[in-house]
Amino acid sequence: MTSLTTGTEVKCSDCGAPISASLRHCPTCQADAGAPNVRACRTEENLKALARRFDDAKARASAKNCSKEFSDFSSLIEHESGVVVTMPARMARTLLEDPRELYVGYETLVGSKIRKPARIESDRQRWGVGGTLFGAYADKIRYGVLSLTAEGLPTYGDVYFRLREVAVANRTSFLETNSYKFVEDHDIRPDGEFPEGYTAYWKDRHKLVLAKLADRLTNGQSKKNWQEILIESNGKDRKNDSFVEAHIYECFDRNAIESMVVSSDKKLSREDKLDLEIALEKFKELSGKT
Amino acid sequence: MIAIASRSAGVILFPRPKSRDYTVLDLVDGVEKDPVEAQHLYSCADDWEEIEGNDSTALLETATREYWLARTVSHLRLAIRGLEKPLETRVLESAEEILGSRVTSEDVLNRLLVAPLADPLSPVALAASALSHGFSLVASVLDGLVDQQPLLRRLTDHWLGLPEAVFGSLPESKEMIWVTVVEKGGMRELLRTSNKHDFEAKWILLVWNFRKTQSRTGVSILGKTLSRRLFPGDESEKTPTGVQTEETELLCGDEEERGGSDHEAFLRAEKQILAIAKAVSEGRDTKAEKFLRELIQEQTSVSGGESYAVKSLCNIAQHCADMFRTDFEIICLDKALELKPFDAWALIQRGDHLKRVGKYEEALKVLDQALHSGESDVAISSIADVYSEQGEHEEAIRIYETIPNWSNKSAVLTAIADNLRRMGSMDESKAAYTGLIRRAQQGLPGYDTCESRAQAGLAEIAKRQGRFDDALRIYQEILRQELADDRDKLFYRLGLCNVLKLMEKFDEAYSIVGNVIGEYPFAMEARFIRGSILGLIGRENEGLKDLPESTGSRSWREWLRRYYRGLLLFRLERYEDAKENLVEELNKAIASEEEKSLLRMAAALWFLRENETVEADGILSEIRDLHDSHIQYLSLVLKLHSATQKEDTATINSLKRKIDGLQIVDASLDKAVEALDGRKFAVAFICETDALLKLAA
Repeated sequence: MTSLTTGTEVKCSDCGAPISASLRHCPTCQADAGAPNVRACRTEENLKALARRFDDAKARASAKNCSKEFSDFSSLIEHESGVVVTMPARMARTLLEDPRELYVGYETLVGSKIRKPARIESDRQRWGVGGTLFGAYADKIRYGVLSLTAEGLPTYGDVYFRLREVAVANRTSFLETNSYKFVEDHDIRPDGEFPEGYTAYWKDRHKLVLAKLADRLTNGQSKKNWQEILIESNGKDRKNDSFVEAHIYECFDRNAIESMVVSSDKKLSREDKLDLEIALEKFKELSGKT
Repeated sequence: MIAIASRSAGVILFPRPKSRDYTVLDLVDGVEKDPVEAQHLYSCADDWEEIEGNDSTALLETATREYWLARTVSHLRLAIRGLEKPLETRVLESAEEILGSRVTSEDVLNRLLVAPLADPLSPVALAASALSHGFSLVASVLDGLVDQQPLLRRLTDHWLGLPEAVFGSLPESKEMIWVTVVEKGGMRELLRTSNKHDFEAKWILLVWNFRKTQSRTGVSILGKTLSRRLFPGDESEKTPTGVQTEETELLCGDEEERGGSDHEAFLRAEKQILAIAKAVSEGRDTKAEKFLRELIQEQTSVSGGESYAVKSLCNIAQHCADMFRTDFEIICLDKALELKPFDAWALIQRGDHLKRVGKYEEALKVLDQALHSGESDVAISSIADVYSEQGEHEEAIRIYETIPNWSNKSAVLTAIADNLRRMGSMDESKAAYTGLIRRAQQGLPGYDTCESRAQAGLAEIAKRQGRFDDALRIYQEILRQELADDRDKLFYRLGLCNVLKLMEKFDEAYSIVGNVIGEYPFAMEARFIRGSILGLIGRENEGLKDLPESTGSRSWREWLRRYYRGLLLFRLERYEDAKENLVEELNKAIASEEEKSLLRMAAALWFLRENETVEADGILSEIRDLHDSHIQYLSLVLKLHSATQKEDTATINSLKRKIDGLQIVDASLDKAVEALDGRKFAVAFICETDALLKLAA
């Protein structure tokens, strides 16, 4: 067992200086050591534990005569799944806006982003569970879900954005389920031990999904059925939702968006409707450019 | 108490006591969000900001205000950038609703002033569209945004030109300081400052938004450095040359073009001068300074080139004076005097500059230097002008008469006649002008150029006496003649325009002033006149574009900008904005006593609209003797307006008797009197505003 928060210190491949588990860049030479959440999943112990869980799942599926479904589902996840983030319409429109288009010298005057630095303690603890899982870099983690389609968690926000693989593959890790539930079920405390085999980096995401869902496989299932078990929600008690949670290290911009889908279940206010219209028009404009 | 909020997400996070968790509250509907959902919905927000307040209510208030402010700014940015028409209308409608209930126009405008617009006129069509839907608050913000563009460009130009070393000791980055200035609502206030002192006073208020003492000290020094660059003429220090931020741009073609004959060099210099003037007119000072350095370098690279450079600099300074960009004018003149410290013409021009910005003592000192550097006649005339502009016409005439052989010098005699006219001695003035015309017609040497000037003097007298037909005829005759001096011709055309305006021949006036602007794009006074005409024909919003907010320190005749602007805003029922231009400017304007009378009447009009008759009466009572019959009529109408509002019958009767005794016809003011008789104040205001727009001519 290791801890996601404290993790394992690594040595910089360029200068040999130690890099703490919470840092992305070497403090000595600024070499990129990779996103810390991804590094935490790629420890030998975790990789082995996940492989073990995957193999066990495969054996169980085979025993149920579901080897084909296991193999097909695994392949779909490996090749077609991606990260979908959900957000309210008001945020979607902001994401799709770019003030640089309007002004001259905007970035030179304002910088790349206008966020003011918060005091470390309050920023770190922005999300209680995030702080427990990621400690010092909790504020850098953005949450999404793994999905086979362009849709994300139903009943959450107004808009689903599926992100381009190239924008997230190297900086995203996955947790078997909703982090609130996971922390609660495994009684994880800040800076405490973290069970191995429940997180995966991009290339192992199929292993994580199959380790979790192999027992739900039945003969004759298709992509539609698998999407339904990959993201489950009764729309009432969100704590019971089940999905594979994606943790993206640091923010993304509008160019990271692959598709935009409006959630069909939500009743929207006039302001939200306006925001959606704006977001859709801006996305259309953006898609036309790319 | 500290909370974290995101404007894009519209949520605030309150820390829960004795816990690592937060309560997440939606700022729009006030609903507490489920933490699981919140984590997924809001983690992508990249604009989390720590806010401080006394309690949760204060924090919520701040965060909510910031959310709606950001939303309105975002609406307007999107609409300016371009949206499909139906969506644009809905976005503007939403912005109008928010502006009407949740945020102030001033705050929104400040946020939009974060950087200069790539296309400074991009909000113009949108403002018209907003107005056509009745979204006046949106239109007003967009108009304000357009107005501020040259000023903002100038400020950002200087800001980006500050050396990095100035920021070295500061804990905050250059960008963060800029954002703080924008977000703390300081931008518009800074842009409106007209001198170093004003700028530093406004800047110091912003300094308090920085928590650390080190930051405050550093930012305060930064403000001083910036103000020195913005207002170089306010002290003897030379303008420091900053790090260049503008793209390297070949101003005058390629290197090959730089060689060539004297004629080619002359043409190139002419082109450079116009490019510099254009950059100044757009507020791109750093670029203009860069071009200026190139021009000087090029011209001084040949033997004896200093004289050419000084002439070029004086030429650019004149363009700047026409634009009322006195701040850049002084940069040019200082550079000219650096090259040739005793150049008489440069000294005279510097003295003239100081006179126009109201620094009369300094002007006299500089002109005294010019007196000993040659061109003594012109220097003495300029000294006399300093007194003339202060209303000391008799002293001015006395000084003119000290010029050797003055009684045979047409320019001196014309100036004396002008002073007689300005002091109200119309008969003497008329005699002086007539004498000059007679001498010119007799073919006396040295009088050939003064005839048209003397005729223009007679036209101005006719105008002041209400004989508009005579004034019109004279100006038309002058302009039919072959005039040697283009600059004189410019003034006669503007003179004609003003007469046409008074005669309510607006189409003709508009056409003439339009042509003038086409030929002299930097003549701001022509634009002011066009702005006033547009106001008179009900196109106030268009008119405001010719009357942008001031860029620098106040100067002679520049009061017209604020005066006309205030009146147009008044007509648009933007009374608070009108107040800034009409009331708050009253004691700051550099103007003659007669011009101040108009300014006082405009300020009184504003107070009458507010039903503050005591203030209005006080201001009207300060009006001195008036030599212009229409202006005199208007002052009586405004007094009548006040008396009617107060229902002061005795004063009403006395004023009406005075009005009946006037020997002039002014249909518009007659209508105002009639409206006041029927207590139709709205109609009276329209007539009075029209009169003020017409009479400042």
